[in-house]
Amino acid sequence: MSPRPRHIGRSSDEPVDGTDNAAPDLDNLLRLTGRGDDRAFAALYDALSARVFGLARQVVRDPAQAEEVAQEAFIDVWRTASKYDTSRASAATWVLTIAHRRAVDRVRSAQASTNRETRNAILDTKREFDEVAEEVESRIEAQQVRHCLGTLTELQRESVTMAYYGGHTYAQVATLLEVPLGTIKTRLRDGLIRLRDCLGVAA
Amino acid sequence: MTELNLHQLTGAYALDALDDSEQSLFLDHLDECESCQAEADGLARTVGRLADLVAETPPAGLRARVLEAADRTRQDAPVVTQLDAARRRRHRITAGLGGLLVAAAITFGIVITTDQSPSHSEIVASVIEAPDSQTVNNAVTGGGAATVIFSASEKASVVTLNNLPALPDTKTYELWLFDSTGTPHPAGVFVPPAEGSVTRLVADAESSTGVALTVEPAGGSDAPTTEPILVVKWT
Repeated sequence: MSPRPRHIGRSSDEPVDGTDNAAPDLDNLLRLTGRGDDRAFAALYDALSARVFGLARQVVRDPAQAEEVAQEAFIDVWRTASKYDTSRASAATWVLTIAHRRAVDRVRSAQASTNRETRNAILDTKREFDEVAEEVESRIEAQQVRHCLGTLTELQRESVTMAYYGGHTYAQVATLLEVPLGTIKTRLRDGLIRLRDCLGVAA
Repeated sequence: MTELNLHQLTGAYALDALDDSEQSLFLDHLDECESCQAEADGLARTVGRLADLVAETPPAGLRARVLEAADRTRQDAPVVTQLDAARRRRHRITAGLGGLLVAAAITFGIVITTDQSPSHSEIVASVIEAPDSQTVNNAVTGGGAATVIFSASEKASVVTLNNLPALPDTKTYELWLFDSTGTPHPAGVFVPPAEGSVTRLVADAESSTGVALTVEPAGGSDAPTTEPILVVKWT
């Protein structure tokens, strides 16, 4: 019988708090949440709410809507936690995937018109990255992501951040950057692969 | 969309940057392209890190609202046949037979049912009667016997343990289910109530590949600490 690894599917993207020993085992909290453990769910909220809310804010912009999206995401997590498969994703990945999809659904259903993209996106994409660059990064994992994003080409970084933080489809990104669809597809994939390898996420 | 292009979409997919029709096309593709699925999983883990850069403390009231909303929201049952036991699992249950504690691994959709519940007998019957059902009989090291009846079409295994010897108070029997990587997960601790008793569990065979039994310190362990006295794999 093979020895049980303590954290299935866990990779270097697990958060490292200031005190490593105190970093909560999010995979376990999510597993317990799936069994109805509301204290585990509260602890999961505490560990992830800043990332969930911050991400929602980036995508939907309006703070009140961001709160709603964050709440919806956490309720999705609560509702479906029993389906979490530890062998496929870390708990943080799972929760943030739910959060990002909620945020993207919100913006895409809210404004079908292209006005949103043309008006906001070009101005914002530069802001999305540079603005964050001005903040003091006290967390190790954020520093690591910043560093690794820096290893992408400018075009890769631009496409990835526009798609992720802007909640755009790759076709919209292609339109905004005036680049062919095929090129954007490749940039997104190559950019993420480079990011993945730099971060040391298991391929 | 040609096959060639689909492989290239793992990045866009991981970023939620596909439109609805592409999304469903790509999901279908993932079902048949293991390397794409593996790559998509890795890129999803990568993409999650992008949230690290934009973390922002939410307004104070959000926490209470979320916890309160969760309190009045029903959770989905695990991916397995919907049974009474699955719903009751929100609270610790002590199954009538053998004091079986549901201690873990709901992600595997373990259904711990007792001989008394009607749904239990239905499942057992459907597994036994399935045309592809296979039966394995194993002696349990140290005493007792196990029968495992597995049906791929029913996606379930019925594991029956007979005549397990009593253990001292300091020890307990613990069941484990193996996931697709062969890693054992806790599936419950129990004390056979009497000599000659039968303990039975039904396992979701879609997410688990086999069962093992060990003797652990009372209260159970997170990982097996002793050599298993029974191992049966069905996949």
